[in-house]
Formats: sequence, structure tokens, C-alpha cells
Amino acid sequence: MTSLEDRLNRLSERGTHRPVDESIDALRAELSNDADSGVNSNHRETEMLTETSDPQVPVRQRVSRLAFAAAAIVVAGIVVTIAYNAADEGIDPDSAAALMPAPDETLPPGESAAVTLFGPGPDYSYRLSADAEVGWASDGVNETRFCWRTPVIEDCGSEPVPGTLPIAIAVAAGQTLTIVPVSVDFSMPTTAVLVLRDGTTVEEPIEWSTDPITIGYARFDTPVEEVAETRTKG
Amino acid sequence: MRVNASCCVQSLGGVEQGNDAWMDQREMTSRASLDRETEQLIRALYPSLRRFAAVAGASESDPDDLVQEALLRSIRARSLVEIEFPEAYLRRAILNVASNERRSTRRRSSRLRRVSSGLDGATNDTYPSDLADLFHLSSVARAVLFMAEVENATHREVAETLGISESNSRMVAARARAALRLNLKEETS
Repeated sequence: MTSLEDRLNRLSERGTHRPVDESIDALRAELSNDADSGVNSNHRETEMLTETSDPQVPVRQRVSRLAFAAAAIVVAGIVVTIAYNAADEGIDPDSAAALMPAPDETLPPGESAAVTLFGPGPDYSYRLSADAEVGWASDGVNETRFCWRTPVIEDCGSEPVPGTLPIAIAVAAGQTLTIVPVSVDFSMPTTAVLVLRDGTTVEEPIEWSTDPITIGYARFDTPVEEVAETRTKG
Repeated sequence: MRVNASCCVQSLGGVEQGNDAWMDQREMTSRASLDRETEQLIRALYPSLRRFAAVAGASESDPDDLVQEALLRSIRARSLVEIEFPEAYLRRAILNVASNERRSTRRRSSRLRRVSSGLDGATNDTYPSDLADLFHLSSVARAVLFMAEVENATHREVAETLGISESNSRMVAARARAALRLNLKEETS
């Protein structure tokens, strides 16, 4: 098996190499087209200015058009503001988070994760859901450690790398949160499944977070002690 | 005045959206030209940019096309010779173009799958399996690995070039290596 460096080197040389002169010529042609369309744009604007200043358009009509445009801008602004606020607060009635059980207890707002769990290496952590912070630590050589903090527990385990099973962690009031990695082909399953000790299964939709990395979670009204196995589907 | 590349991450994203939606043609016309200094800069950076594009781009994308698109967007936005770290700026531009292409390819593949079940839009089969594995990683992950493994850049350098945090760079690299190890295990088992 070839080394990763060798593979990346081969990858960097893939494709039919185009002479740099050809690329520069193509670039020049594109920029020249831009310049041409810029001239046309100026020309169009001149025409529009002439039309707008045409005295045949009554002043009252122009005023009403302006008023209509201003009203439209105000309405659009309100809509955009509402949309942004909804996004900031995570209010999306169609999201998986809205469909799964609400957390019984949340972490204090703004408080950072217990980074002492990570040891001396560089770390990275963030709030994945209202009741769980997750974090990674790596010294760049050894296996990355994955840690979490919920209202009831702080712990670390193997990193949920693509294709591995979800990690079940305890959150408050007998709830379980599963942390779900992407599949081995980097697709995102839609449903988390818990197989309980009595053989029954429960399912909840997975909420995906893609920033800074793609990782999902699902919350269950089931104590972690009852969980025998975790799965995903979809 | 020289512009620090680190200031341009936001504006680069803005340019990308702006190009798609709307652009002030008059401003573009006055800025967009290929003077001798810019041409010399492009010639000097081209081999390195092409290698980076070949790694960051999706399997079906042409590296030279990626570089050209990134150069075009960047030149339309600002004069390359005024940027303090033009190579870092252009690498981010390439990564933006590559990420957008990956998203549109994924949407296209999804549509194709809906129309014809079992048809996969990916064309990784034109590459040996050990290279096809790399295409399962994100553009950013390949870029981070390339800079760290081949160019021997530190994670701080990778982070500064790609506009991500140093810890994020480490994390992305570790996850990518783990994913590749997992693929390898599945192939051999």
C-alpha cells in the first residue's frame, strides 16, 4: 500500500495539464468579455436614465412608484430579520430538533466545556445541543479523543469517525442523547435507533450540525442504562 | 495599499455570492484587467495552485478549470498584486469554487438517483481505488492533508492559509486520517 503522501502527490498531478499560456489567454478573453458587457451595461443605464427623466411620466405616478418600492423594501427587511432571528434561535418547526423530545435540563448559557478533560494538547469544543457540549483533542499524531459534557456527566471516548455507531450519552432526567457520525460514504442518516435491553427499539430523527464539522444528535426519553445498542437508518 | 489576505475571507465569500447574484459591471470593468505584474504573479503561482486545485477539486472537475475560475473571481474582486498573501487568497478561492462544485455535483447526483435508481453520479471509478478513497473526503480535508503531508506545512500555516482555526485543522486532519484507515480496513476485510 502506498503512503498517504505518495497518494496525495499523485492526486495533485491528476488530469490533462494545460499550458499556463493557454490558461492566461482564456483568462484574458473572459476579462475582455467582462469589459464588453460593462460597456453595454453603461449604455443600458444611459438609456434607463433617459427614460426616467422623460417628462411624459406624471410626477404623481413616480411618487406612488417610489412609495410602493419603499414599502416593498420595508416588508422584505422585516421578513429577512424574522428569518435571521429564527435561524439564530434555532426555531425551525420542520427541523429534527423540533420533532425529538425537548431537553429536560440544559447547560448554563455561554459556559464553555470542561477542557480539563482534554489534557495538555490543543482542543476544540462547542455546544452541539442545549444539553451537550462536545470537543476534540489531538496532538497531531495519536488518535483524536472525543469528549462531552452534559448536565449530568463529563466523559471522553473514541472519536465518532465516519461509519462508526452512534455514542449514547446520559443527559438529564433519564434522557439519552446519541451522537451520530456521518456514514462511511459521508452521507447523513436521518433516524437514530436505540435497541433496548428488553429487545424493543425506539427511533428519533437526527438533527445535523455541519459547522465546524458534520455531526448529528438525537434525543430519547429513555435512560442510558436501558440502551443495549445504537444504530442509524435512512 | 497592500491588503492582508487574512482580511479577505469574508469578502471572498461575498464575492462568490455576489458573482452569482449581481455584480456592478462598471466597477468590474475598471478593475478587471490583466496587467503585466498580475500576469507574472499568475505564472509564478500557477504550478502550485494547479496542484492544490487537483487535490481540492472533485474527481470530475478539471484542475485547470478550477484555477481559472478562482483567478477570474479574484481578479474581478480586487487587484491580485495588492494582496499581501496572494497564494493563500487564491487557495481559499479555489477551495470555495471546489466546495460549491461538490455541492452542485451532490445535488445533481441526488436528482439522477431519483430518476434512475442505482445510478451513482460519482465518477471515482476512473481513478485507482487508493485515490478514489481520497475523493470520499471533503475538499477541505484533502486540502488540509495535502498541505500537512506533502507540503509539510504546520497546522498553524494550514489554518492561516485556509482561513480555519489551528485546532480545526488538526481535527480535520485527524478525522480524515481515521476515515482513510477505516476505508482501508473495510477493503482488506
